[in-house]
Amino acid sequence: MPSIRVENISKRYGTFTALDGVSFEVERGELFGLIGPDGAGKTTLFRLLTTLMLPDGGSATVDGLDIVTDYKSIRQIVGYMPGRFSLYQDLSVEENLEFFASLFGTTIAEGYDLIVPIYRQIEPYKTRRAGRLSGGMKQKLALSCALVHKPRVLFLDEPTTGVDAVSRSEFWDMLHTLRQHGITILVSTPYMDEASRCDRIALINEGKILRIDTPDRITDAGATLEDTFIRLIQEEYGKHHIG
Amino acid sequence: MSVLRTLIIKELRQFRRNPFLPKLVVGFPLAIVLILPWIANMDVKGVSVGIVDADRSDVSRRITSHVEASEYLSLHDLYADYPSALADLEDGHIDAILEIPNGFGHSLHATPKRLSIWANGVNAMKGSLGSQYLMQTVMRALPTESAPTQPSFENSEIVNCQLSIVNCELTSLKLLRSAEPASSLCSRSIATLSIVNYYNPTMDYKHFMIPALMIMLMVMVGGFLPALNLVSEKELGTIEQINVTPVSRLTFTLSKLIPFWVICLLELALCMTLALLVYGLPVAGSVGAIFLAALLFIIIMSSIGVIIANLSDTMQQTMFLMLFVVLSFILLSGLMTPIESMPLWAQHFTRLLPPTYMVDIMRAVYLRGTTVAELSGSYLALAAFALTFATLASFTYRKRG
Repeated sequence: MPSIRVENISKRYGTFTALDGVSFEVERGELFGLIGPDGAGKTTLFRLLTTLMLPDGGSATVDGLDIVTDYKSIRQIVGYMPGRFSLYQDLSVEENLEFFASLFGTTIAEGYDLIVPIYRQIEPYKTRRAGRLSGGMKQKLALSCALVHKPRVLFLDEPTTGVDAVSRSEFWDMLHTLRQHGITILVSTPYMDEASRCDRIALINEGKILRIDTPDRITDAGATLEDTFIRLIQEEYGKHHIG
Repeated sequence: MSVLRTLIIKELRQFRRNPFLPKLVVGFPLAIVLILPWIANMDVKGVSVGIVDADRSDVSRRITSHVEASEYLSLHDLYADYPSALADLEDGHIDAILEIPNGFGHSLHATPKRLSIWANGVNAMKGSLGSQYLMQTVMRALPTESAPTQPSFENSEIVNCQLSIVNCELTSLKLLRSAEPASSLCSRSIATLSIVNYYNPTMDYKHFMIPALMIMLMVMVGGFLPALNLVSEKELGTIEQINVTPVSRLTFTLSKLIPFWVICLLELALCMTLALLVYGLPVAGSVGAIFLAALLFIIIMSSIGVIIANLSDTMQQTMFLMLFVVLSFILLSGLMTPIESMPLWAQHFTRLLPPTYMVDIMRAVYLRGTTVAELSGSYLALAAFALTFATLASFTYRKRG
C-alpha cells in the first residue's frame, strides 16, 4: 500500500483551476519532492492532503485513509509544516513544542528520540520567544513541532524558502535522517538544486504534473534539471496553445 | 478535557504577554465605573443666561439674583437692549435671553406686563430644558405674598442660531398664558405639586447609567475581545497548524471564550463593588439575578463575536462588523436614549435585539429590585437569543474550504 495515493484530484477557486487532474503515489519511507514555480498548485495539494480543504474532484488517501471521510484519523498521523511560519510567536520555543505535543496527547519526552537531532540545535534557546528566533531556528522549531507526535507522514510546504544556504543544506541532511525512521516525507520547493536530494520528484506547473521520476532520470542528458524543467514547460505551453 | 486545559493555559500565557490586553482589561471597568458616569450625563447644567433688564426695579433685581444663584443657570451678563443680547446669543456666548420689560415690577399688581425668553435651539435639549429652568427660576423669584398674580410670558421662542427663528412655543407656557384672569388671582393660591421619584430618589443620572455601562463592559470583554482573538489566529496563520491537529473546533473555540467569560464576570463583580463604594449604589435586587442575566448575555455576545470572526479573514473586517453591531446595540437598546421616544417601527425592531432585554433587566434589578420571576419574559428572551446565536455560531464554522 502506498503511503500517499492521489488520483485525478482537482481543485478550483472560482474560475481559477489550481489543480487539474493530478495523480501520483508516494511509497512508505520515501522522500518525495514536488518541484514547481510559485502558483503551480503545490500549497493547494498540501492543504488537500492535510485535510484543510476539500477537493472538487478525484480522491486521495494518506496512509490508506481517505482525505474526505477519514480526516479525523489523518490528523492524528500526519505532521504539517506550512510555508508560512505559523507557530505562536509570543510563546517560547519550549512552550510551543510542549503545546503541540499535548494537543496530540503526548509529551516532549515521548517524542524526543525523533526530534533530538533537530531540537538539540535550538534547545539552548528554549526559553526564547519563537518570534525572536532567526529564520533558520524558526524552521527547526517548526519541524520539531510537526514531528513531536511521531507522524507517519510529514508534509513540508516550501520549508527552505527564505532560509540561508547553510541552514538549507543542514535541513536536507535532517530530512535524510528522518527518512531512516520510516517516515514518508512529501516536500515542496521552488529550488531546483534541492530536487536532486529527493528520492523521486514530480515536476508541477499550472496545476498539472509534467513528469514523475528520480531526479537523475528526469534530467535531460547534458543539461541541468532547471533547463529540462523549462523545456518541459515550454513544450506544455506550446501544446496547449497550438494544439 | 486535558486538551481544553492545554489550550486555556496557552491562552492565558498569550494574554499575559500581550502588551495591551491586560491593561485594557483592568482599565476598562475602572473607566466604566469611575469616569464614564460623570460624562454620560444628560442633566443640563450651566445654561448661560443674558438678562435684558429694562425695568430696573426690586423685582427685576430679585429675578437677576435668583438666576445667579441657580445651580443650573449661570448669569453671563446684563444687557441694555435686546439686539445686543441677541448678538451674543448668535455668537454662542449665551444660551438664553430673559427680557424684563420696563414697568414690569409695578405692573404685577395690575395687568402684568409680559416677560420674554429666547433660547438657542441648536442643541434642542439644552434649549428647551434651559428655557424651562429659566421660567421656573423667574416664578420662584417673584414675591409670593405681594404678588397677586403670575407673570405672563410674551415671547418664548427657541431661536436657532442660524437665524431661522423657530416659532416653537413651549407647551408649559401655553398653560401659563391661558391662565385665569388676573383679577381672580388676588390672593394667590398656587397648588403645589410634590413629586416623589421612586427607585432613584435623587434622580441621579449616574445611578441610571451605571447598570447600563456595565452592559457595555460585557459587550467589549465578552464579545469584542474574543472575536478579535479568534480572528487573529487566522490572520497570523496559526490556525493552519491547529487545524491539522485532532483538536475539535468546539474545544478550540471554547478555549478562546472561557477565559473572557471568567474575566468578564470578575470585572462585573469589580464594577458592582466600585459602584457601591464610590456612589453608594447597591444592587436593590439579588446579585444572583444580575449574574444570571450577565451569563446569558455574555453567551449571546460571544456567539455573535464568533459568528463575525468566522465570517471574516482579518482583524480589520472583524473590527468593522463588530463596531456596526455594537453601535446599533447601544443606540437601539435603550441604553442611551429611551425606547419609548423612538418611532413605533423602531420600537418594534428593538424587541429583536438582545441588549434591549439586558438593559431592562439590569436597570430593573439594580435600581428597583425586581425579581427573576417578575422579569421572566426578559430572561426567557435572553435564553432564547443565547440558544439561537450559539447554534448559528456553530453553523458558521467550516474548517475546510
